[in-house]
Amino acid sequence: MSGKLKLTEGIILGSIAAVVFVVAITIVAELAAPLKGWLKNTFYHHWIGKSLIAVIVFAGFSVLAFAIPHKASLEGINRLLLVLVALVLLGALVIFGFFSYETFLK
Amino acid sequence: MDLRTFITIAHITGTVLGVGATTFVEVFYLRFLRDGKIDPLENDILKVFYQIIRLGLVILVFSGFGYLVMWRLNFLGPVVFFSDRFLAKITVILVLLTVAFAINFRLVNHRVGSAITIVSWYGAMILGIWRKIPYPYYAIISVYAILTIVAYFVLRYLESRASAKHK
Amino acid sequence: MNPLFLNALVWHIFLGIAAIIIFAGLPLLLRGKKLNTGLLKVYSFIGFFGFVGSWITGGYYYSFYYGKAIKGGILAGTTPWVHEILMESKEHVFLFLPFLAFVVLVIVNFFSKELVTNAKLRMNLILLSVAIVTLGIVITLCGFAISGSVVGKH
Repeated sequence: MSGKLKLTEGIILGSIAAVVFVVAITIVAELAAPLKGWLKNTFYHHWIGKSLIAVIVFAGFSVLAFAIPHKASLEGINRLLLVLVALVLLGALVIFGFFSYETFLK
Repeated sequence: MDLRTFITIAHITGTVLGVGATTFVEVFYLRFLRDGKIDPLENDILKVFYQIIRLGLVILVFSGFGYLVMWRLNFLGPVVFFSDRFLAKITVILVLLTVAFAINFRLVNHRVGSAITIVSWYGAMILGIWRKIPYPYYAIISVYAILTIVAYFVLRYLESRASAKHK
Repeated sequence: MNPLFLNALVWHIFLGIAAIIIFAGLPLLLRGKKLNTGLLKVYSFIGFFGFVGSWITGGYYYSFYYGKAIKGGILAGTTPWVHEILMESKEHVFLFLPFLAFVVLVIVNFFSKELVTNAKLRMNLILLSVAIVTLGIVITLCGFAISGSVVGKH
């Protein structure tokens, strides 16, 4: 049971990291042309690069959170789920807001 | 049978199930209210109708996307996708989905939910059939909103009449 | 458009919509007094694999076809913001969904017994599913606008 709890906490933390990464790389790559260029040159398309790195970030954080000794609980999972939902909605608003700003206000 | 015919049959089937079950759920609900309460057997009957409504909604959404894919592949563009009729229909379907969810989680009372559901289903059907509707988006949505308010008061009157028979 | 891109576009839409419908149904299953954990597991699998399938097929269409054949036409048309805002946002916000779906899949399969007894976990899973459906619908509406802005044969 504790293994399942730890793994699940790790997977939720990995998802939180992936969401934060996607928001960050989306904005930074638009503002820093060399980064977008590197993603494009390395992965054929910047979006493929972002997708693959997001999967790596997710897996890395999940494994890391699972490996670091800590006491996992259902309470912890409940708290992390709320953080994930809040970040996902905020992240979506930031992305839409950023591209709206770039298009109409900049 | 070609793909377009199949999608049309599915779309009409979804609409028929949705409009029909929504109508009957109201008729039966008012009928069941005559003794002042909804007993477990009556509740089970209503549940069957709600399942048919959900099935209709799923068929309607899937077949609706079938149409969209065909429009996209035929490059029909803004003339169809941004038409007042299509935008109004999408609005009505989104309201229908939101209210279906709200009813299931008891976030709206039964009468408000019923009024919106019944007007939305008939609205979606009419917008589907009336292909050359000459009115702009805002006019269509205004009529939809007014009809929903009217439906609410009609349902309130019918419910109080049904309950009065019991008293 | 060759048959491969055509299939990629059609499957992207079909799998994405199937996943959204599945995640709209999941809260209804979680709401009942008696949980059908078997069905919950089936839903979570279909939902997750639906989004993964939509990711791969949509990604293939977007990366190898859209940029070359469609994007220029939209930018040159009357509604360039459809690409600049809606497509740009849609392609990035979509990346959240497979991870969120995976979290649902893991919780439903690891904690099916706890879901029966722990109302808080059930509620949070409903919230997560609603977030997935909300984003899914927003992305779908962006897809309508993008498809509607495509003019002329490619």
